[in-house]
Amino acid sequence: MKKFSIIFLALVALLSGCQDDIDLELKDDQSGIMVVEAFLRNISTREAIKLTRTTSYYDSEPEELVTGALVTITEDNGSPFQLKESTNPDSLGYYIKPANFSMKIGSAYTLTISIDDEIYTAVSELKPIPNIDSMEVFYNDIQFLFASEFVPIAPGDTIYDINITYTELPQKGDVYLFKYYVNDTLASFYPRDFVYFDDEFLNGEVTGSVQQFPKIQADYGDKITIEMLSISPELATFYEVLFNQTDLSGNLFASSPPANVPTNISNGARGNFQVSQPTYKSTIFKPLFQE
Amino acid sequence: MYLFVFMMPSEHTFAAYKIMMKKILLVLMLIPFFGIAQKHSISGYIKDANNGEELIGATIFVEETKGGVATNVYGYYSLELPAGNYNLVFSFLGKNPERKQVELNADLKMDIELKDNSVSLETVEITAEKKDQNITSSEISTQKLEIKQIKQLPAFLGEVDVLKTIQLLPGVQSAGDGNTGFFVRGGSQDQNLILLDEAPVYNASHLFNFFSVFNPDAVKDLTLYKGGIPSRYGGRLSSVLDIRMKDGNSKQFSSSGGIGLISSRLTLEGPLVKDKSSFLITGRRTYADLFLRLSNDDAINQNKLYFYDLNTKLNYKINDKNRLFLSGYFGRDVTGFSDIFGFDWGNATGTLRWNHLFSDKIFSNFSLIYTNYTFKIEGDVGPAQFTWNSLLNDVGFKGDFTFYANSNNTFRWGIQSTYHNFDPGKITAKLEGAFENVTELSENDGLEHGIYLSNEQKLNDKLLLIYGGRLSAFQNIGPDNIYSYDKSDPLFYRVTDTTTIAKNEIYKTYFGFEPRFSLRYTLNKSSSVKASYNRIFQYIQQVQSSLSVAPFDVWFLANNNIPPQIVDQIAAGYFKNLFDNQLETSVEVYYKYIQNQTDIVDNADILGNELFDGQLRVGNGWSYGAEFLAKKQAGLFTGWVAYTWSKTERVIDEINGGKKYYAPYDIRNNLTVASTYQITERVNFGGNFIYSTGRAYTLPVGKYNYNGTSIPLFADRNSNRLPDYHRLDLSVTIDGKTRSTTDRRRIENSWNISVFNVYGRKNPFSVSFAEDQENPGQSKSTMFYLPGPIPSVTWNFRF
Repeated sequence: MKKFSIIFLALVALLSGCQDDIDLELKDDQSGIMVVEAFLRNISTREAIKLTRTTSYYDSEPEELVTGALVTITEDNGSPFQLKESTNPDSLGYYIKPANFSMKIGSAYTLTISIDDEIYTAVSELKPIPNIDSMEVFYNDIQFLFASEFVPIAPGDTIYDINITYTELPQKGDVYLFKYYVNDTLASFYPRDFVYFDDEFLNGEVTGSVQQFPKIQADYGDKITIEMLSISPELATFYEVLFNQTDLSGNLFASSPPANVPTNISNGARGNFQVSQPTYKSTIFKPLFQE
Repeated sequence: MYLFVFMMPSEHTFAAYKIMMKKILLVLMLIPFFGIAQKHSISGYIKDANNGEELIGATIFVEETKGGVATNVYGYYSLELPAGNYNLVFSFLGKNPERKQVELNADLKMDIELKDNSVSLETVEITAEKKDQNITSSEISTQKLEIKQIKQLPAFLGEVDVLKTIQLLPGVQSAGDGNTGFFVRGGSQDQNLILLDEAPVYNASHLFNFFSVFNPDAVKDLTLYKGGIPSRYGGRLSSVLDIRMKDGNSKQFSSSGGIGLISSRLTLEGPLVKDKSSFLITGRRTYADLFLRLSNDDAINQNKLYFYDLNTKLNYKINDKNRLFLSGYFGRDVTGFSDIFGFDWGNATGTLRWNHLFSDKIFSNFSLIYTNYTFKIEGDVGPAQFTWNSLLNDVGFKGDFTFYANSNNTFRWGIQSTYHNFDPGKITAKLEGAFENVTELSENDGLEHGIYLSNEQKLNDKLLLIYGGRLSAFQNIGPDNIYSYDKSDPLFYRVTDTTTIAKNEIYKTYFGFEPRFSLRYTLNKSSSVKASYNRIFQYIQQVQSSLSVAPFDVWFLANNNIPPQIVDQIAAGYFKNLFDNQLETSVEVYYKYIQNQTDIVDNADILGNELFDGQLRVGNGWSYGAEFLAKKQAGLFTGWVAYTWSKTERVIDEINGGKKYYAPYDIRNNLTVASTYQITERVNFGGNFIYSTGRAYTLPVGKYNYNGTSIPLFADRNSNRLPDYHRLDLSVTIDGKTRSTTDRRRIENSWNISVFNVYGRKNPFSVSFAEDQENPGQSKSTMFYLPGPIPSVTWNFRF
């Protein structure tokens, strides 16, 4: 519904009257709650999970990193594998999955974090990913006329379409997350820039998929890479809700009332744990017609 | 207790039980007939002498018996008296009472016309007649508003709006600044039954709730029932707002209208066939969009943003016993941005009614009712297209009977049946040459039926009872898709199975028994106590994501996943008139309990979602409160002060971790003042003031970072409060000089200047929580509000 919501934003801008900063007295401060950011790809590079704690809402202090936790990953009913804390002073609070740690498609992985007599756990299954058969990038000349601070599209912004084809996997419940890289640098970093696909209506079919990424900073000749990642439906919901509760917050029509973004971590912690199988395809960005 | 003993199942006791039942019936129904000699009826219509409009709720007082009756919604009355000589007083607020002497020796027909009583400054005449209707009637939790009075109060942007005026009544809360949405006694907006000449109105708002669909020039009378809801109404839990349109001037042709800042109105009315038939046609259109076109900015001058509506009414008197009424409403909102985006919506209603007198004592009305609501969203940006068409139709039949049996008993019964056809529509999103995504939202059809019977019985001079009940039934009809959900994660239901229902198959039936009861006990000439109980079933609901209803918020029928909502409400009140009925005061307390109260789950995804019922959770809710009202209706200074204390809570297992929480419109204290003051013969001041403590809201208690995004951490649902709400509106109405033309017609005109939110209070409608984009890492709260003060001016005329 993300794209759908955008339709109404222009109306909202017109009708929601004025806006002003407001100082509300916030009671029941709940800082110090464990937050887990754990998205582990099954690739042969180092990956990290990040542990932080919640802070007071109006706090402008840098986030509080959690050091000294014991973090393990367990495959199915195997024995726990420890993710060692980074020793680099610039990346405290990060716990490293080494490059040689590989995961198995179809296995469930349990993340266990223990610190100060508290134990937090989460489970995620490594789902398969199909191969990308073809890829094209082209400039989309739609001129967006709606301006809104909620959406990363401004009037006159251009959109680049990355068109890929692949054969959707036969089982139901597949969700793929797409990110893109320009010259091997990740360009879709924030959840609001992510694009995902679920197979509810197109299960098992050959799918031509246009993924629209607004605000690509790319020039002809650049190398564009698309990364397609298998994720759980819950993580797609997580991203969608996150977008609703942050970028669309307070929007009269398009948003839901304030509520917490869901989590799959136990014991009252926030955040998310996901293991994911990626697949890649690259192309050189060139004009559709030779000028 | 006796009944319990006799209900043992044996033949012998069954006979005894029947005898017992008969005795009870005798006690209830036959006692009033004791000692009655020859009786005759007096019946007829009471009308406005100016334009021949029938007056609703006009009273007939019999001086000899100290008793009386009031006219029904068609202006008809009937009462029965023993033969003899009587003095009858016919009165209505704002009219000079008429006294008639009658010698009653046969059934009598008597139509009466009442003339205006003009307020004169020098001698403040207070008519000494009985104005204690609020003391003597059985009606509790019921508010009637005069359209004349509504028109003198300050109006937002100069648009007189009945829905905004009822928000000033005790027990009624507003959905926000300038918003027509209202909540009655802790009930949600879809629990209000809004009727326009008996046709239900599904979306009573124009322009995203800034204005209501009710053109004040077409409205004759409105009554709001908050409790003690009569048996003839059903289908919504919390209130009935019964709006009646004018019939049209039957005396002479006249026109009236107004030119305001954002809209103009014109009404034409007059007789078609003398003493037989009259008509009314009234239209209204806003023209904000015309100003937009003057802009040099292309982004503005190509926008469309307007609404219009048209009310028509036709009545025809076949003879003394039969009358026909045809009323219609048609309204549209049109918004658009250049030719790339359009969003239109609107209602159409039509009612054909036939009043028939079976005898002087049996009044009946048969109605055919049609209502339609549609919206259409279209986007067309080059190769990208988007359309969504949605419609909702109701077709219904209704028969209502009133039997004015004798001076102590009035029986009412009736039958009602409605076919609902809700088609939320098809959403098409396509990008040429790339994809086409069609979401077909499944149609929702159903039949809703009701039969009712009630008796209004005067047991003695002090005690008046109304007892009865309504039997309702609801049937779901195919085609439809029924979804089964995996509910293992209470926050996210996932579909496990879909059952397709064939066309015209009735696949689910619900029944409801709805007892209704009210009593009035008169303590003395100026005070009474009243109490009521009602049970109501509600079979249709609206999914709403925000406090403000959006035009695309979908209505749906009770189904296998969402059962009907049921309310039980008790209300009791003390009514006291002071200063010879000049000041009416009342205190009412209520408690209501709602079974199967629905609410949306955290992070619900509702917009255009076929699986909306998986986004709702069902539990129980309750509300209780006390309402204080002091109202002055006569004299130069009129108006009311109302104070409401109330509390509205819910428990739904899957929401807020199953803990009790406040409804989003829970407001603890609410004070309203609405007043008008006639300062000279031509100048009238009006003022509204509202103060209410903050409504329940979900506020953050912390924040965290995830993937470079700052996310607020929220406390329990609605566990905090927004800042207090307060606002002052002022207006002045200046009557122009009245000119008389040769044929004795009068040309009247008046100016109304209103200022909304005089001191520019910023009342937050909603608050958002996000990272400060200019100051990353810092979170902030941003409130959305309607800026003030907003002045407006309107010129009204009549000739």
